[in-house]
Amino acid sequence: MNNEHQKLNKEIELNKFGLDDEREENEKVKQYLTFQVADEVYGVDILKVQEIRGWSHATQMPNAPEFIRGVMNLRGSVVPILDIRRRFDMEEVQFTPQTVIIVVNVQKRTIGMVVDAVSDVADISMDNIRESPDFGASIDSSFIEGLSPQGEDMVILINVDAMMKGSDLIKLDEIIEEHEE
Amino acid sequence: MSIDISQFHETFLEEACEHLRDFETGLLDAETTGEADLDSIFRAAHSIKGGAGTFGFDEIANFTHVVESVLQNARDGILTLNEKVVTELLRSIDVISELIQAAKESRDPNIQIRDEVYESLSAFMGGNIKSEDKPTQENKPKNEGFSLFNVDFIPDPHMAQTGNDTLNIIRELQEIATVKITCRIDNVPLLHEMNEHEIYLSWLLELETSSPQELLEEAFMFVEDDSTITFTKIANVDIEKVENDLAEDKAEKSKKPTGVKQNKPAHAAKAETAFIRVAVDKVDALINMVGELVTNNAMLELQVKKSIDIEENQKMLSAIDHMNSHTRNLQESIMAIRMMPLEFAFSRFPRMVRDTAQKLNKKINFITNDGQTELDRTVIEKISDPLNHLIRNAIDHGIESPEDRLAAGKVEEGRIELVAFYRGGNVVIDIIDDGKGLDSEAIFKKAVDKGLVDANAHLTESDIFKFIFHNGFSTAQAVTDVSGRGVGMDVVAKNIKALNGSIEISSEKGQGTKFSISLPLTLAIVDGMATKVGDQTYIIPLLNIVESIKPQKDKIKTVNDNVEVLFIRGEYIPLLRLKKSFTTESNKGLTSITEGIAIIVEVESVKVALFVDELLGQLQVVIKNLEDNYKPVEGLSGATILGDGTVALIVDLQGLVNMSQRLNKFKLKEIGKHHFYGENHEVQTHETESLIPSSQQLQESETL
Repeated sequence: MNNEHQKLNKEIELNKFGLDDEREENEKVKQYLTFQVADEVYGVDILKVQEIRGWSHATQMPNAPEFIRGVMNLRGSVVPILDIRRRFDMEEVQFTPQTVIIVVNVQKRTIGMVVDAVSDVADISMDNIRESPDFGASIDSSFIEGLSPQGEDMVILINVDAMMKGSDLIKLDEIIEEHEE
Repeated sequence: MSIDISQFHETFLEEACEHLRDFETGLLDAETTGEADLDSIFRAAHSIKGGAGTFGFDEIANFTHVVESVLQNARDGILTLNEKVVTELLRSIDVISELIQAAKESRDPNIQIRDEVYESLSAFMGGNIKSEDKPTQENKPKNEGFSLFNVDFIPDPHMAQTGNDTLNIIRELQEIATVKITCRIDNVPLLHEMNEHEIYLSWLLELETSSPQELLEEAFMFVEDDSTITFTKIANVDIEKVENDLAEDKAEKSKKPTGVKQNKPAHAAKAETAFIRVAVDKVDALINMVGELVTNNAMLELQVKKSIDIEENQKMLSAIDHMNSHTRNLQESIMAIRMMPLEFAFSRFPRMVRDTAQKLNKKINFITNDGQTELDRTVIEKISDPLNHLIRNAIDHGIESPEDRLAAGKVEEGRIELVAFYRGGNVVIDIIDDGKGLDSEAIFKKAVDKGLVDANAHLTESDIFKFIFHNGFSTAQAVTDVSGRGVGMDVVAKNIKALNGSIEISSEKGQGTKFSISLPLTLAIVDGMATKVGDQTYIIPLLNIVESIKPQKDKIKTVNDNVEVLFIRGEYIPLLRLKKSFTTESNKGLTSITEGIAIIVEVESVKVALFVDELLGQLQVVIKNLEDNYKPVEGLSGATILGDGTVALIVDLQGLVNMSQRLNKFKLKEIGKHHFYGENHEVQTHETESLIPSSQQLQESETL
């Protein structure tokens, strides 16, 4: 893990740790970890983030959806790795040293997401979140929480729970039903 | 002084359960050997009663009192322990355990059976049980003399903290003896030095009694570890008689320890193998952590060996070696924590056998070996029900009625053996009966009737026996209360399979049946063969591997153009290419059959050849659940972390076979069963020899 990751991980930890006090003072501000995919900036609720780590080889899962890159050993847990570009039907790129895995906790599961690079931890005021417009059927917008301007950029806030639900990782019951059919 | 004794309730209830087990075992022993260790049975009942009284479980105490009285009479020779009495006493165990269970769950117990059993027990006593009166020794006809004892009772200062009260002991003694009490107060400190939780008094008790010393000592049973008790016999009126009695007692039960004195060494031994109760998840967390440690260690070793000059760093390397062996020892020891003797599962069967046999009017001699074979506790919990079922079946269907047995020239009493032992890395549990055996013809006929098999099929006997594991398959003539509904055997097979175990049947008509269950020692670790397919590593359970061969091109044929079969020693074995079954993104892996390796595995007596690139070697792996963070994947039973920190996937062979069967819409089993007996039937050891079969179904593979 490089220095930058360590620094960010500390920041994530600190933010999560100090959060309670701050929240009480100002319920309207939430911390988001922002990251880049292609030219876009995304954000996830920092409470969902466990840590970030560099990309390393993942063991491929047989007969898995394309956006599942495989599974990785995260300190003894076997963690599936989801490729955000593939999930969002975006053009594929070669992994670079900046490529990073954001490890999130979703409904008691630990799941890694491959993104192009992480940016920062941003305080985003709830007042400053715009509703996401209806994209029509071509893009699955159900897991976009909202859009928020941050200086020049627009941060797309994603709801990881919704995204994982749509990734047949969480829909266990439905998978079992399918099998029985 | 106030101590919240409710904190001891749970412990008492747990202990009471243990005493009940001793009680039950004792009773059953008494019945089979005809020679009862009544003292130990009585002690078990007495401990339950005493504890229940102390902790305010009056229902349990009152009921156990009756049981104790019956036992007392039996011990005094007033009552004979005949079958009827034993049955009622066994039922009383059910009642007590119901009462304990009710107390645990803080609910009202089921009192109907309690009252029934109470009635019948009272009847044995001639109906004269007074609610709190212990039958006194005056009733005892044998013992007419009386003795004088001096008892020096010096409690340890902390005795009261264990919830014991001297007053209770003295009251108990007063029931069986005339007690003269002298209290010594020399050790009582000044008031301001006094600790309210400690006892400073000691007592000298002069007892005049007709009871033997053992009975007096029993009053001190709960405090013997927390005090100094000295018995001195002062005088013995009619000494000879009493001593004769004692001598007789000893001669009768020379094998078994009697009385408190002889049991003392046993007590000491018990203390040495003391137990602590630990939550299972704590142990599991520990196992997980140590698993990580082992992996980290391997990684460290790998990195160190890569990056340093081995010649110059011998010391560092030997330190790493030591660490390695210590971590492995640590892992083994921690895994051993989860192990429990099979006795925990076995101990409930003697009772069940007795009750079932009685219900069916059969005579059965049930034999278990010591049950000290150890297994993972999860495995033990899950194997109890299947064992229970198989034993029930053996009693109901296996063992014939006494008349039939005599007519068949067998001894009247049937024999069922439950034996456990280690074999390889497995524990094998055999259930053997000497009953009428399985009728393979009847089973085959039934299988044909049910459309499970073609009437003309040629099956080996062991294949035929396997039909009894089919759902709804029962050859019992009549459905009884005990078994015969045809449900159960399929569940048995399923449960055993879920434990990665296997079950084999062998049976000879008229001679008996043997079920042999083979189970892995633990579910957390598996011995596997690491194999490589492209850039993936798959672990194949070693247990199922028959052999590995380098296949020859001309040994591969296809059926229906899509299923490949490998011809080996007169047998066609379906060939599964792991690369095809497990499609991955990179989809690497050998295609040419001659370059790779075929691993022949056997799953539920179906043979399948798995085609992989190469073998990487044997290893023991800790199984990690895929469902924790992902979802179940068909054909995989889990994952593991290899020494270099990467994840390898563990193959679930049964799942893989099912998956392929479904995909191929083809019963692999049927090919697997098809034996080829051509002219070249003689064992072909040289794979180079041409063995092209003349069957029309098979055509030379063109895909290769």
